[in-house]
Amino acid sequence: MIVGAHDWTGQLAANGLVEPIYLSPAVKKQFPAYTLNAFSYGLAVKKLYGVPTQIENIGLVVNTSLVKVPTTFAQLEKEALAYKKKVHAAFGIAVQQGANGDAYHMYPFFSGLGGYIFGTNSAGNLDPSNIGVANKAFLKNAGLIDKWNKEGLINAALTYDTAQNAFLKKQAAFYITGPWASQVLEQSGIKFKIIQLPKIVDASVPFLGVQGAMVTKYADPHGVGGLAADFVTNYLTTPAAQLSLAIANGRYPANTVAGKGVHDPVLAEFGKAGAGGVPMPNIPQMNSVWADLGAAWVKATKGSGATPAKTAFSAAARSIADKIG
Amino acid sequence: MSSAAHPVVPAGAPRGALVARLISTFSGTVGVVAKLAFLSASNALAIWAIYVLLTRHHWVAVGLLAAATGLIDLVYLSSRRLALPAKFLVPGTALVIGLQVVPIIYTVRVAFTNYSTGHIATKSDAIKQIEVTSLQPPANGKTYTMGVARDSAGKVVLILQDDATKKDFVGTETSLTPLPASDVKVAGGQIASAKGYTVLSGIALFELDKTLQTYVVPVGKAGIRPATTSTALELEPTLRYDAKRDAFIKLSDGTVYRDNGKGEYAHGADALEPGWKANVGTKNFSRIIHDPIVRSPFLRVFAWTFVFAASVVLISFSVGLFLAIALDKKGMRFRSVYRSILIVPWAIPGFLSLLVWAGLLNDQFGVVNRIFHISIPWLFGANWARVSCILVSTWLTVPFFFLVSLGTLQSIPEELTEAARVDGGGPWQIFRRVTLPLLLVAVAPLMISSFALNFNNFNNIYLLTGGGPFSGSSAVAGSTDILISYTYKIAIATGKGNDYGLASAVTIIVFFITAAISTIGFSRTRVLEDIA
Repeated sequence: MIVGAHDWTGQLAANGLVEPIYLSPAVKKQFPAYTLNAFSYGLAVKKLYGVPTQIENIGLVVNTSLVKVPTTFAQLEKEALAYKKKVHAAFGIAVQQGANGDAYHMYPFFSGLGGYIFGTNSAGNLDPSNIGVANKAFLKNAGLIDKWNKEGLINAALTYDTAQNAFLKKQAAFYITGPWASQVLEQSGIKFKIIQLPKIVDASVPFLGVQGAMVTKYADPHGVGGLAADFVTNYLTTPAAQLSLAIANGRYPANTVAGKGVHDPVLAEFGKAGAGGVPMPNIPQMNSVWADLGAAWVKATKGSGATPAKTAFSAAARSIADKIG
Repeated sequence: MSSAAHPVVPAGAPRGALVARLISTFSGTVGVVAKLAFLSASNALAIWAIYVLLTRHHWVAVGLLAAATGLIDLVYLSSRRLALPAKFLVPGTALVIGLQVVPIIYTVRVAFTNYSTGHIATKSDAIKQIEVTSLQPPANGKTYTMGVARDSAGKVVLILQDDATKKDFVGTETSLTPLPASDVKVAGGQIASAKGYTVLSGIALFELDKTLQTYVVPVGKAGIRPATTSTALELEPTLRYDAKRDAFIKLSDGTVYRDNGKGEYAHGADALEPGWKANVGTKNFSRIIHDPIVRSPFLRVFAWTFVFAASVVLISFSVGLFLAIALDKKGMRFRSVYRSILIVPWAIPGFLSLLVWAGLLNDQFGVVNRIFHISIPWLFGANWARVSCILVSTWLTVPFFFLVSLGTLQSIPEELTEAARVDGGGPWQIFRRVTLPLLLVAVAPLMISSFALNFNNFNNIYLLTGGGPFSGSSAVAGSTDILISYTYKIAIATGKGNDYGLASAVTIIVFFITAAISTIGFSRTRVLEDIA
């Protein structure tokens, strides 16, 4: 069996490397529908290939001793820009991109403006021919990206280290990151609260990452097919197993019953910040999306000399369509 | 003192005596014992490898390995004079064949297949997987708690309890018979015992795994199959494999999915997953020529790769030579300190220094822009990113040429430069007419190999800029992508991802380009030798 992220499912299943898993309805009820969906894949009929164990998502970390927790995006913009002016920083919100971009961290902004990656077809499956990177609703709102670039709210030059550093050294009051940074945040002594990015035009939902266990096709030849399926299906789905795994890894468990046993306030806040989130598309065609989407954000938010967002994202949509073929 | 760097004149007396003593020791019994020990070890390894290969039926590999081992034994145990050169050549040749020739042969083989996501299995594996994934629970399909048991005759049966109705059954491969509820006891969600049957658990149960993998209790059109060691459910196939026609037939509407020669079963554009690795002839090579995504940036990327490699080599050589001449003055104080400092860029692992440079050159927060109060977009602008790649690669390569030039300069006999000065030559003329040609004889081959290395220098480009800011003209290739990083991006980040067949094909083309350039370069160094 292997343990991995849900967006491996498409590639693994397309290569015939994982076995289908069957859960009883009673067990399925204990998991949010999107987590089971994240591990499902199939061109004609979707089958479940893995058992979700943990979920993670990014959220907006607010330094509550420097600014008030914003309830609307307009309030966030005002506070971020005011603080930026006060400390003479080069950006309002610390979110990492780098020269090659980071579509994962920019997704809340993307979804808030009406963007989506792949649409769904009539059977409810992701449709790689329906690319929503430059859909009409998003292009209508894309002018906001140019506004943010001009006023310096977002700066593409920030990387993982410089963004974290900026928040810890109080150069920025807002920081977008995930539960992997919770230890650093807790040890920094800063008073913070984690919320979902406020709604821009639509809800600014983050990408949801689900980790889980899958049974490989090598279990049968080694004579442990039944055992592996037993371990994954009957043991790893129990609330006790889910909770202990999640606590050991510093993440939120996928099982909702186990979730009631999570007492870490930071994790709970991250969990709430993921409400309504979109699981990362798990089809193999997603490989062709990351680079172009990240690059479009970098081109549109790199400060002076930035490309207008409409042009950048339309070009990205065209190039993704070319690559997927 | 610089005698340690002198390659030609042998060292002084004490070292010579030690070498002579070592030679005499190893020519006697000690040498023979050592030789037999090494040969025994290598033969033992070969026999073990042959045994493993035999159990997996790799006959060609067994034959080649046996022949190679026999040859090595023959060479080292023979006392003929003819075998003497072979004794020196065998280890190097074996390593070249094992670590260079075999990967090249494998790459060429892969280039003619469609090895990529969805096409990595063998055909029989793919058929098996399609059959497994085509099983679907029927509408209102039942799920069961299952216990594996043996009946009085010792045959394996399944004791089943329907999860919904709690009715008990015993299932064999031919029938499903109900059992009275009193006969079956369930404890802790598992079948604990059944009258007339011995319920198995522990090792006895796990040993039956292979039997259970294919165990089906027929129920109408569907069948009850074990899902784990304690549950079972009804599953019915939605596809049927017809071995005679080598096709899958969808049972609901009779659609036929045929082997379409491209490594998948398909009905028109509708393909079944997984596919398998199939030979596709020259399709990958024709894709390089015809597919606009692959073809359009090829010339631009090739031109930039050539410029990058040539610039790095020429600039590094010039700067290294300049530093070597500057530090070659006898009697200069702290000379060893300067030399140690100059070797540091080469000594630090490239992975670390490249990542640090990527941070230093960040145009908003990097140290370089802050110290000099400039705002050059080192990594964000297309042309500046190229300059950064060349500068950082030069920084990494200068120590190498510095050391090489230092050594070669000291091997040029002083009499030649003395004679030139007596004849009335100025310093620049002496350098150009005497020093440089002699230097180039030794250094030119190193420059060519450095060129070939930088032509394929994936690390320096990918770690610093990741292939560079995206240019508008290409979906895949960035502004600083060289052929090898561009190949990597095509393989990993297009289509369904991981197209090893296409990547191998592009690699072969890059190999021919590099080989051509190197051959031309080497043939010209031979001309230099004549001049010298």
